[in-house]
Amino acid sequence: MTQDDIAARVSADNGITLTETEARAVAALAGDLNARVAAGAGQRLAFDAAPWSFATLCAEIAAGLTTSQKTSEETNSGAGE
Amino acid sequence: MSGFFTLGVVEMADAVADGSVSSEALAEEALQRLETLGPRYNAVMQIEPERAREAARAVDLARARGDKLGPLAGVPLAHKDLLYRAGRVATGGSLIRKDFVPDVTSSVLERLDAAGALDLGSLHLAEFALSPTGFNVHYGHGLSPWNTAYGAGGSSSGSGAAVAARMVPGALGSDTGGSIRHPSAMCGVTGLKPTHGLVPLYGAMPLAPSLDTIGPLTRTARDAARMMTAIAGPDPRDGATLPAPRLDFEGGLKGDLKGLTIAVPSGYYRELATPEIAALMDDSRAVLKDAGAQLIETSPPDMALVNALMQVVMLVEMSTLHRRWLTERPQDYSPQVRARMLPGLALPATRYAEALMMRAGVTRDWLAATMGAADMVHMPTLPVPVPSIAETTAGPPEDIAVVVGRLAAFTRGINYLGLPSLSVPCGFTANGLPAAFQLVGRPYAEPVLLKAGDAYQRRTDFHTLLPPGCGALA
Repeated sequence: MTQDDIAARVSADNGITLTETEARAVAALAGDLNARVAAGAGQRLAFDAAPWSFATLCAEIAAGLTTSQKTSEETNSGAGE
Repeated sequence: MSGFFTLGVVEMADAVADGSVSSEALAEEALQRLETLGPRYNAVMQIEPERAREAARAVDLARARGDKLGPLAGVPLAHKDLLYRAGRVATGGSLIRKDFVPDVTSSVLERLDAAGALDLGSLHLAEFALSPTGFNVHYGHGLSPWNTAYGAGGSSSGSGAAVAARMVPGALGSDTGGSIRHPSAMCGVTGLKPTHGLVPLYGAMPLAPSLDTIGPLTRTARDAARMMTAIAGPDPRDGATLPAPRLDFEGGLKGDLKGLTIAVPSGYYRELATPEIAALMDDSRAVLKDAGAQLIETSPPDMALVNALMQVVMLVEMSTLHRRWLTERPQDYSPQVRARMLPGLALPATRYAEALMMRAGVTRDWLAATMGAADMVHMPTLPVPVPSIAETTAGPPEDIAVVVGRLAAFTRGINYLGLPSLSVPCGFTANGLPAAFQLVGRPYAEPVLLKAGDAYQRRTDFHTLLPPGCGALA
């Protein structure tokens, strides 16, 4: 989208009028982030490979710390009590 | 009685418990230092002397009765002005909330109360917690106790300055992209950004809830461990904390790192660090090795993607929260903060959803590549020496954006990954300002990070050094 398109979208969706300087900066950053994340998602996200949740991952890793780390008692005292 | 300001959190709690000092004496000295040094560094928003004195007297009476005291009984603390206490103004560093009086008290303040800590008042922060330098147009910049031509770091500016200048031995801050670690590093104190979901966010002004964390800024890792003992753990009012295990933060602080492996990442984390910072990192790793740790080299994955994912989550969440005020009260934001929020309004919903869906996989990959089989990762907190206020406020906006953006290069990605990180002071750069390394761990690995930080501080004295003019008051 062009700078004008983005300014128009922000105005229509949110009722916020961007100055020309703001619109230029918003277009540059949003455009860059949009492209990077879209590319990353294109490479990494597959329908059946999506994780159940971030919290689940953290819980799995935490469980690993208390059960499989080589020196769990010494390095992570009390974890998983 | 006075002269206790050099004591840390644990030392003060021990002194109150054994009767060598009264809580009231600690409170009086801390109040005097907040009133005297607070304005010098623009560290304080509001002091509540009567509340503090009353709480101190209650602790002293409890001890006299022989009651069992909490782990922080009688210790004077003050906290970032975005943690709600019912009936006390919480500005969030903003003009929009300058008169906001919450009707709830945050879980973390309730937990500190239950542990016996004294709450002396609220501390300065960047506007809406959105600056790595302590920049605040409405209330003035947070200033470094080491040199007032430099910022205290942000957004938890007052927390960093108050601990560094020995006004209080500990303070809570919040960290969405580095806001505990920046002021810790810039002020020469220890700061712990916990695992996302370990410390409840209930009653804290949000910036980006998927990334927000609350944690302590203290002089030592041991003091941070004591504060974490009080504030961490499941809270039914914050569902993200429900899976959190109960951790023993203090039990492992024995000074020996034998059996621990520390990863030293190359690539992004080495290339962005200046030679001066890299040399300080080498020195700090030598100390950790001397303490018994084994060092291994690793290679991080594509950090441009991790940083972009973090920014998408932060921008969308904060612009969503602020959209109404951005529409109705645009004049009440500083131009800098408004400019930082606006891009979130222009990102499509699919990018935000993708950023959330990729979070677990990207975190798993970052851990595999950057930590590998090690127990933690060692890297600079800031890749560059602390910039002066002039360098971060004067000149073309594009230049300022580069200088300010660089400060968060090694911190913001960690928030997206949800990982814990401990920032530890490790020396000074040529400008006389502190520098720090951070230790990043797996989710809920705070005990092992604190263990390493404590071992480092048993062998160094950077955390004991007092900024000029912050000794005993005349």
